[in-house]
Amino acid sequence: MKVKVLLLFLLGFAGQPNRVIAQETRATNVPTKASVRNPVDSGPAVYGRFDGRFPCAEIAKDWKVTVGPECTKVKWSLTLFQDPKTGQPTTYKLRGTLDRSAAREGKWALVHGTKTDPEAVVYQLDSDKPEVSVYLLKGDDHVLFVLDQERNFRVGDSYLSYTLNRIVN
Amino acid sequence: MKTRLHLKLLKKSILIVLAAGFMQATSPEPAVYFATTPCDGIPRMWLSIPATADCEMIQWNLALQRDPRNQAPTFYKLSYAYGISKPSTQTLMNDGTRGVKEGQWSLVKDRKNRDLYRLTPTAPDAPISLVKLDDRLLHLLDQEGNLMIGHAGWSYTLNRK
Repeated sequence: MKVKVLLLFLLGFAGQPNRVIAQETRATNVPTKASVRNPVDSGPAVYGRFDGRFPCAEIAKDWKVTVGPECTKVKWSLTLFQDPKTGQPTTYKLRGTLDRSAAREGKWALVHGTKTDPEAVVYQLDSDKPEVSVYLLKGDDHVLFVLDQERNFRVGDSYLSYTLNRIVN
Repeated sequence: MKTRLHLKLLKKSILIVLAAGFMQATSPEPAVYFATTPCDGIPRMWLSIPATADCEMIQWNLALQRDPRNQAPTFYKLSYAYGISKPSTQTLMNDGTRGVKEGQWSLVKDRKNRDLYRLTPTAPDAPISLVKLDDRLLHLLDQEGNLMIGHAGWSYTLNRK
């Protein structure tokens, strides 16, 4: 009997040599949860965290950084901080920038308008350094779009888009 | 004699310009948008992906056809592939599982005055809505009209090819 059970067990594995356990999927449209290794900063001073991946070359050009052809994509994990009393933007921390050894930090501000929509809500990173500012269009509370320096949309490719998504604990 | 020659040349030029314009207006080339998205419950439902299927990413290729006479939306063809990503590549393990959905598409305005692309597949599949961000970008919406939320790896924005 024990031998039979063992054989069935082994056959079960042999029949699915390439089986990979599926990732956890979200049944509804809600922000994904942060990993235990990289939790979201919490507290009233945190406006939110937004993560995403997109092609490397354009952002390197904006930041006036020289990168090689091996830089095909960047992974961003952006935390926006706010004044706990007023809710006004204060600073940001960006991990996973072109220079992975250090987080990029600076000020951010709320500005309005793109070329096609004067009412659009836009977050400006490095608002005190317009020559290297990054503009993020607020799609809604959970989704941001990375704009170019003229505040136009950027077009991704078949694999990556210039979109950041809210992450929660 | 010279005037006749000029007239002939003028007629020929007009015909060439008209023919070029006609060919452009009747071009059968669809607008194609592509993306790689997560494989969450909502896209699984749209694309009839079994709940038990091993799926972490979906590759989308959406071709939107218009009537060449008046540019009105007509048919769409959504080709997709899903499965587990192959490490260090942009492809799927064993090429994934492929499928195709087809139907009619239309342009509508929603209550927020946004331009929506509505894909209506043949029954019993559920319709799919996308919001137009600009001429080159569409973003998938959930059933309540909210932007679909991606994760750290992939998003729900479709890019013009």
